[in-house]
Amino acid sequence: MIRFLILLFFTSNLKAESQFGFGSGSYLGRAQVHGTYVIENKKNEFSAILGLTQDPAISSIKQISAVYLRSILDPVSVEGSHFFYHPLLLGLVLTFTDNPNYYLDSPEIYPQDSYYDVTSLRWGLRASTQIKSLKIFDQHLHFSLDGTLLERAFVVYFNNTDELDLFKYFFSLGFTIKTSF
Amino acid sequence: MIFAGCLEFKDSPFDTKTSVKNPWNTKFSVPRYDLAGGDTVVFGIFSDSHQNYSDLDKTITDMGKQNVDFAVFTGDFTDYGSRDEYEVFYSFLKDATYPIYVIPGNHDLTTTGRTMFKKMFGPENSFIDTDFGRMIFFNNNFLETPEDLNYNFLDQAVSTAKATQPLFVFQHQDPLNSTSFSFARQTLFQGFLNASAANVYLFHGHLHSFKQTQLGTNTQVFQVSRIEGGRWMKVEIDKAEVRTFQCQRRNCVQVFP
Repeated sequence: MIRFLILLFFTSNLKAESQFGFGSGSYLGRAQVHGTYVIENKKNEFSAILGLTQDPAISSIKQISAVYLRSILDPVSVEGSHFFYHPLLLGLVLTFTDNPNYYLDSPEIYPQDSYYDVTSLRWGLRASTQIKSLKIFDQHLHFSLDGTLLERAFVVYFNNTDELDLFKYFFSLGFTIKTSF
Repeated sequence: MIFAGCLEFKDSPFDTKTSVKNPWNTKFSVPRYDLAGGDTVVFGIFSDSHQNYSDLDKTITDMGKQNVDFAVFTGDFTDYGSRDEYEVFYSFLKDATYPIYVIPGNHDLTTTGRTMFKKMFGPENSFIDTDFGRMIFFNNNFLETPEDLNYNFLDQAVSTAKATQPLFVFQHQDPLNSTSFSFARQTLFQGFLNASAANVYLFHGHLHSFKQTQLGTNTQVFQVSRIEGGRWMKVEIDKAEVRTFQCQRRNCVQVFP
């Protein structure tokens, strides 16, 4: 996973913009550090995210996540300025924790490695709306409001009828502030 | 309402944060009965809902329509013990019009499920005395919480009951399941139950289908079906006997005696 993210980050030779920033929520950690590559005329972006959440009941939870987003609606710009508004980006999120309570293979106390499904790796759909290149103190800042719907929502959707309201248990908002460099 | 729920900022799918202050099982209560005076106890047992929330919703409603006084859930309301699954199950319990006691299943105790269970539902083992016998709730998920398979609790719960007091034991795992329990542990378990001179009625889930077995002379073991299709069990108790029924939605068929 880490190798994949490093490769993703450093092997792209497309015309790109690099961003760095912080965020919170949307299942990727209470405190997050983001590194983002925006490529192809600002239509596609890849992010690698490190997240940390303090949970007194089980100690700290470290997460490493990968996000791909694609702009679905054309960005709105103001001529002669750096202002960009991306109304909607949609994509995928993959998040992994190394917390020993979770696992890729079931722990040894169980009869087989696959006794239980993978629990340390979760994925979901992500939507984002972004205001980009707002210039404050000589820095171009990018603000985004993000929403993540975890994969469990789809299991619930396909195994049940009339239970769409349960999606709220698998959805979280979050925000990100980034700057270009 | 959906929109309001979506406005939450959640830190991680791996954490155990919950807004529940008072664990669910601490609110459980059983009404008083005068069996000699003609009262009849009616309660439901349901199990292994996993992600079948439509069936869970309907079954809680159906048991209410069948006028159960209370119900017991015998474990596995999640697939891997995550916080989101705990919260969904809890949201359905809150709609019930009667008390429900929840015991953990093996899936509910994986990952951080054990922490979630303590926070949202309370102690794993407990017993209460009622006018129809002693109800014993026992966490026997040996593979998930081996350090907490507390046979001392079971010994105490059985040995301190009155000699003629029927025992109603609720647990998730089949006590004779050789995957989870060695022959020695199976024998130990049966020894506890044999120590009771009164009748013992044991209900468990886990294996997803209905089965009834007699152990020794005084113990009836009922394996409760998974909830899929709206399956549950009904128990009726009056001054004459204990009757058990296998139900699907609101149709019940007597299976014991």
